Amino acid sequence: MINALALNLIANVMDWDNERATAEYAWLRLMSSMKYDGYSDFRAGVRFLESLVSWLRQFDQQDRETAYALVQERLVYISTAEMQRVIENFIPETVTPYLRKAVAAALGIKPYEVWRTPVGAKAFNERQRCCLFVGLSDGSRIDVLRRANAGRLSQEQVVPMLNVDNEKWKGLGKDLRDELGDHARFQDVYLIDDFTASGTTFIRFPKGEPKGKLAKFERNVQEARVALKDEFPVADGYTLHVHHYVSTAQAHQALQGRIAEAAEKLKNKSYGDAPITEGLRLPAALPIGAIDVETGNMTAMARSDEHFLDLCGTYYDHQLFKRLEPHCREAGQDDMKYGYADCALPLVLEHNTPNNSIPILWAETEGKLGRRMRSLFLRRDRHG
Amino acid sequence: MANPFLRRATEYVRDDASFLSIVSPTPLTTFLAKNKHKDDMFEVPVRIIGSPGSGKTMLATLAEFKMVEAILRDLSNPTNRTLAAALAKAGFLQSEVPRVAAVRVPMESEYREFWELPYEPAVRTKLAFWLVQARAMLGLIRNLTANGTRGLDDIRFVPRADYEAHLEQIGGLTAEGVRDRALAVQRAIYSIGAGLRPPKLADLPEDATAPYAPFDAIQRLSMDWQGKTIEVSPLVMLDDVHALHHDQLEAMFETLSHREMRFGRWMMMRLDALSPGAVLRSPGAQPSHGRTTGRDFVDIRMQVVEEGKKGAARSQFRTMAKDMAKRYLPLVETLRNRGATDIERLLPSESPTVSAGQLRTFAEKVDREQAKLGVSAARRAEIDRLVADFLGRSTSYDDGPEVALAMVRILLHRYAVRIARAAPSLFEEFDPDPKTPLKADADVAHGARLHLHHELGRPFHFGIEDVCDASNENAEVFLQYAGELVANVETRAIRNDELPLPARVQQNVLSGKARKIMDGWAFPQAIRVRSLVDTIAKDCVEESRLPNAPLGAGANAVAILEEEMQTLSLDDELGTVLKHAIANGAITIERDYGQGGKLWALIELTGTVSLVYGLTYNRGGFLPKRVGYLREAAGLIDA
Repeated sequence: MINALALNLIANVMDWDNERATAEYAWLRLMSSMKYDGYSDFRAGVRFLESLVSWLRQFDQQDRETAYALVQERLVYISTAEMQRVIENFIPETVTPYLRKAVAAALGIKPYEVWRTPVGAKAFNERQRCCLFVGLSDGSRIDVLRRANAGRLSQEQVVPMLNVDNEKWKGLGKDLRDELGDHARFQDVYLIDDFTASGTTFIRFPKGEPKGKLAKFERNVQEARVALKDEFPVADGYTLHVHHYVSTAQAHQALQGRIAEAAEKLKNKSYGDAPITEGLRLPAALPIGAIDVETGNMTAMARSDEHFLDLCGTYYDHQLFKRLEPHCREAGQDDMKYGYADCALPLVLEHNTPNNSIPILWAETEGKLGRRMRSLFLRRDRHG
Repeated sequence: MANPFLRRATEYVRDDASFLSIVSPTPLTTFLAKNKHKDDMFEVPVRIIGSPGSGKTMLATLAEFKMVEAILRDLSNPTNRTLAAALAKAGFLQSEVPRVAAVRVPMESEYREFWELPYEPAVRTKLAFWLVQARAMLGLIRNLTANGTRGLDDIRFVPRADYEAHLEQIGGLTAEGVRDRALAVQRAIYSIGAGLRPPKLADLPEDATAPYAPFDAIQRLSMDWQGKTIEVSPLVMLDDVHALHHDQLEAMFETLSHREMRFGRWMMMRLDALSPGAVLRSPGAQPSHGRTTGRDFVDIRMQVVEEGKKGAARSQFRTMAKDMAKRYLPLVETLRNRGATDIERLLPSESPTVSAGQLRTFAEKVDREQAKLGVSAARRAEIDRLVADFLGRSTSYDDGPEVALAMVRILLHRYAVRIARAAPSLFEEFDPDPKTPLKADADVAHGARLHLHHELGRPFHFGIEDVCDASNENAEVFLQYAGELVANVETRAIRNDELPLPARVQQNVLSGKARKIMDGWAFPQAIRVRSLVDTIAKDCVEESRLPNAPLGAGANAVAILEEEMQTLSLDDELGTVLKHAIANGAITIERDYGQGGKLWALIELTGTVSLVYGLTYNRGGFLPKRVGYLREAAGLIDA
């Protein structure tokens, strides 16, 4: 069944003639069936085309072409299949090269020689077993990671949640020692999450106190180490890896700064090095705008983005900011026109739209303090 | 389902029933059943040659045994009955019983790589040929058992007389023995081609070097058919052999053209696999291994028909194209829901019109030209009457006032030209009669419509028959044009508009699509081909727009005298440019075209180019040129 009604309505809303409509229908059908219809937060009976109709209607007629162009030219949608690929690539393309180098250094050989001898291969397998993978949120897709690496990773080196209790720590340690001997400890810990846009929430120090996911994990490790003593399975000065399946260039840079800040401010921190990796780093030119450091104003990333920024400014309900005010203030924002931390991303992930994306894509408001906003990809917001 | 017209490559339709529901049987009747060598096609090697999209793979897929069996299993289905009738005409069936067991072997995979192995050419050819034979035998057995109607035990191979010695090396006469031997050969040869490093000649596995010649040894197959035992001829269809190295193809052809072989063998290939001489149909251009067309092998061209029968080809193709459209259109859901499945109604040939303002301006222009040419009012009245008489008699519905006016304009100019050419009289004559009387006919009317297209933007290419003609007998090109038009019709259905596409929209869509096709040319020599056709087309436009329309419907071709064309060396670079232009649908060539008591090589622009430049599809209007013109047009003058 094709969405004839939705297609007809789109053409009417856009005021297209039949020739333009024919050209656009081909694109709309292709993209909705290949990508956008897979978005998990569409309402019952509504898929992309239906959502597009009601989304376009909120704009004045003269702005609809700009809104449509934003979707057609600037929107980046990461589909389920694409996310699956970056998860599948994590172990072979991020973890394996790192471990091969580490093992090679320990054995005094070249990384490409590791698998040449049984001794090298065994050392690699043992070192791989000494890695602990910790999911930071639902988005870390630990289930997919496990399935993609069945036979390569043990179930007892993957933890789906950040809060690991002492019993779990004990269990992890026992399994590791049973396999590799009494001396065995986790040498590397990978903290995994699906996406980071600003990199500002991972660890921060408002009022001097550490907050964020890394702070939580560090607290958990410190407490467990004290409680479990020799039974605690993570080595002193272990390497902490921060891995996101998808990251913006801005977040990568911000994370580096935050990790360096944490190294200074965290007292008696449990880990040693803390490299930052990602499966896919989005290009620096992805946002439609960036905050000008001198003026504090948002400036378009390219000349052609100016219209899109205007759209974000015009079709905005300040209620959005009010709802998230403490959160936004912490990020130094006075409004939410361009998304959390002013990231101005035209980005949608298949399971949810990040709040760092431009709100005209995801916001639903009543219009109490501005224009009533209708979402194209409705965001499920844990902040209310 | 997305627009089925825009679906490429029917071999990707996995389900046999889906394939059969959309496939048109017309290529079977057009290219095989009516071929004069029909009776030899299962015994001598056959080269089936066509440009990309001419339907070679579709033909091979349809003729495979499993498909034939699927068709014959349910003859209560009208589609199957039509397909069975076409298969019977092409010789695959007799009295609803198969005569041939065919298998398609795609040649696009690793066969080409055997040519890169560090062995003697003879060894390389043998390895590739034995792999082909092994795959053909496996494919054949798979085809015979695909529908679950018989097991391996129900199949036996019948050897050629005196070939008992070969039986052991092909695995005996049972299907199981033949299959096991073919599997062993395939495995052994595959390991050579797929390995990172080729083994030394002496280290080749025995299964890859022991004699293996099932094509020589096997003459027929005996098998169970609905409770009876029947015998069928085996046929291998090697698809896309142009993927082979040129020398490899020659060697393969030579191996396959042994006269004693009784295993049917077809080679489906693109035109560009042939030499320029063969593509240009130069006399004496033959494959280099001493074989003769017709006797030692048969060529079937899937587009260009025998010389002098282009009109018939066009009419045959129209039937085939409409048949395809008839099958595809009901698959477009929005159109099916509205019961709109008749392509002729959706793409009407209804005459276009011009606005009253345009007509008035054009009439004033004609009056001005009349005055400038010094044609008297009486003569003008005479010409008006000639045109009105013709349009009154004409069976064409495209006879609006603007057409009449444009015809009048042509005749006014013709009159002026004829009077100017006449020997001056000693006496002053007022309104003299031309030596050759003026005539209003279909050619003038056609020229008038073309002038209106260029002068007033009045649509010229529209209606399903024009879409067929634009395709130059190429099924895929037709589907591209029809697909684009159907997408526009579908939009109208979605928007609840009147469905039939007005002529103006059809013209825009077709011209736009043609431009996209030309812009997408990326084949070898594409830059030179584009330059060549651009030059020819511009010259044809200039000629066609002459106010007296000397060629009537206008020109869409240039012609070189045969005697000059034959001096063109077979390895001339111009030949290569022309070959790729023909193979990729930019031009067609007709040799020994008789006109004005001379023989010409007629180089015609295809429908795609004609659409872009607004030229006629009518055949025969050409500009006489020299080889040097072609060389210059293709940018070869300094080469």
